[in-house]
Amino acid sequence: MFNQLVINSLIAGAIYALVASGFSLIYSTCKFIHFAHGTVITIGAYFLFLTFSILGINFWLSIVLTVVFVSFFGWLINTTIYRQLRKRKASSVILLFTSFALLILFESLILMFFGADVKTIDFIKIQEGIEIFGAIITPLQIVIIVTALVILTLLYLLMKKTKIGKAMRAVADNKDVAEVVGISSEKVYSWSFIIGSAIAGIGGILIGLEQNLEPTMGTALIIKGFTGAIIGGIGSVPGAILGSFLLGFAENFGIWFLPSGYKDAIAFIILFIFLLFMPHGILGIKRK
Amino acid sequence: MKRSSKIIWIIVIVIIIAIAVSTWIIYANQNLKQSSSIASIKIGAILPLTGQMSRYGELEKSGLQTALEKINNNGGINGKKLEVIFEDSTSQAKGAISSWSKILLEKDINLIIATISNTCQALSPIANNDKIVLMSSDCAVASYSSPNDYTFRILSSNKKEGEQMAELLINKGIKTISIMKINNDYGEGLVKYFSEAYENMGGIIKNTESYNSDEKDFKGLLSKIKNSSPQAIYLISYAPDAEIILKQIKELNINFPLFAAEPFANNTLIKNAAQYAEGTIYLRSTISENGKTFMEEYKQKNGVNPEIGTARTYDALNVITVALKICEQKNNLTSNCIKDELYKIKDYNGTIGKIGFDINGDVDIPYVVQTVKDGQFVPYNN
Repeated sequence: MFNQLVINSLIAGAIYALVASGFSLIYSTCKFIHFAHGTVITIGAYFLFLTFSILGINFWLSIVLTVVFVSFFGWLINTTIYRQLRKRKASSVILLFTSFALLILFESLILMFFGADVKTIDFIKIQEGIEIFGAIITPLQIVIIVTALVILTLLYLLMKKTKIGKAMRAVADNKDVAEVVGISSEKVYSWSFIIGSAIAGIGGILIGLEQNLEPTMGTALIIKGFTGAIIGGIGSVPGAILGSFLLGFAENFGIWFLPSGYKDAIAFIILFIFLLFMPHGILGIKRK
Repeated sequence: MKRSSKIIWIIVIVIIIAIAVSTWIIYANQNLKQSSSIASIKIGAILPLTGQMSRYGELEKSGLQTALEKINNNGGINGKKLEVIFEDSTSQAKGAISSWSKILLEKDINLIIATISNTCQALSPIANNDKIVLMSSDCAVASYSSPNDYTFRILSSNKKEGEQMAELLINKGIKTISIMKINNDYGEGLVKYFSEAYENMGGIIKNTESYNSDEKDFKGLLSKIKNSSPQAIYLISYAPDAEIILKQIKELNINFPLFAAEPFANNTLIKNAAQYAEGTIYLRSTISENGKTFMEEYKQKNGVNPEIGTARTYDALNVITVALKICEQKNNLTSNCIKDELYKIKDYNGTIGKIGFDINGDVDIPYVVQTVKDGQFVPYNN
């Protein structure tokens, strides 16, 4: 049974990590909480539903289209809304409120176009899971865990090895100094949104396949993703992924001992503990 | 430049406000004229048109619309047109309460129809406080109604469902069970009555696992159930959750027989998850022999068979019409008159069976045992 709990925790953690990594990447450079990231994921899932289930486009092509569309969409949000606000010297609190407004607006738009009922993407036939060390896991769930880990590695390489990654780290560390040496912070913000939203697109695809689609799914996802990001250290992408897995483990092992209705409570108690005693999270950078 | 642009902005805003106000005045006047020229009787309906329960809301709205059309084609309420003001509860109690206040902004509202247990339950004390008749087509929570109050329903309370399920399980020789339930009034109530009855009959409840309405990952709870090895699982969930739970049961290779509560019987569930629902046994109320004409007419018009939710709201509006007609004739269209007349209804032939209200405003509609066979809801024969 212990093994099953570990597997369940890994699956839950990987789903939270898919949400938290993009969210945390955007936070690290742009320094504001982009709650609408949750609906960007929802948009990813619904876009796949539109292309694959409604228009009948080939599944793999639909996946590519979804990731491209969602990263474009993230870029569009940044360019048309956040950038304009930054130009007007909006504080990060204003941007936070804007992101809330966008979250609700996009949810309503999805509701308007697709209706409120739950949708399913019938690509993978549900079957009995594979048994590994006495625990059961489905192929899709393995893909979810592997994808989360691959994204972690790719993001790490991106940040360490590429020019844009280095620029991102510079802006994340100190925007003004970065600009002095000739890095355009706006360009970095755009790239953060493009990459962060592409991850959201991948997350939307996998979460859409694993769970069903609902217009409001993004809110629940971003709450868990946000919690994972805080635990791991807000602004640190590897931290966000680590925090998400930790959250998955805490929830799944927690309900083993506690009555199951307390699952969400476990997440928030951990969030409070970290906010009170370790506000920088596990891998977050301490600032004086 | 700055000053002039400010002035332009002020002018634009003033114009927008002026247009909005004048449109509102014209619209309000028109409404006033309409309501004074055509005599009509208005009632409210609070349905879950968006949110998690929206699939039920759509069915219920369709039932009300079908009944409304028929009533008005047959002369309305003694010649007066019947109107239903639809409001969306967003599947939540707080949404239902704000819809309630919104409907009451209209003049002369004496009766409101509401559906889905968690919203009706929240509206029940408000209805009694405001002295407005509340008719629910599917509120199953036992504490929803009390003697001689303003609340009515045309679904048997979940006390009956719980007891009947306990009996069914014991009769089938199932002595140990695990319960998976939604964490709301409906789930709590049903578990309470079921557990009492089941344990009195000698059954053992291995564990009761609850989940919140936005939960999507049930693997932890299901693993817990699997580990406790019950003889069967009793699933108390609305259809959207049940679909995901069924899939995860399959994925985790859990093979205990499944029993389910009434909301399980939903055609969309069959569309989305028929293969995982196969063999599940559940209790539900059904459309009776009386409802045959309704079924045929509905199918002819809409191309699909009506679901039980549709039939129930259809009946709800028709039953209400009986009371409204009497009160209108007495020239006493008040909530008190409607309430008294509804209590007098003892054997109305509804599509779901004989509708007669007891002292609590409850009905006694039987639950029948059904199962899923070859992707269809069919009667269950041992």
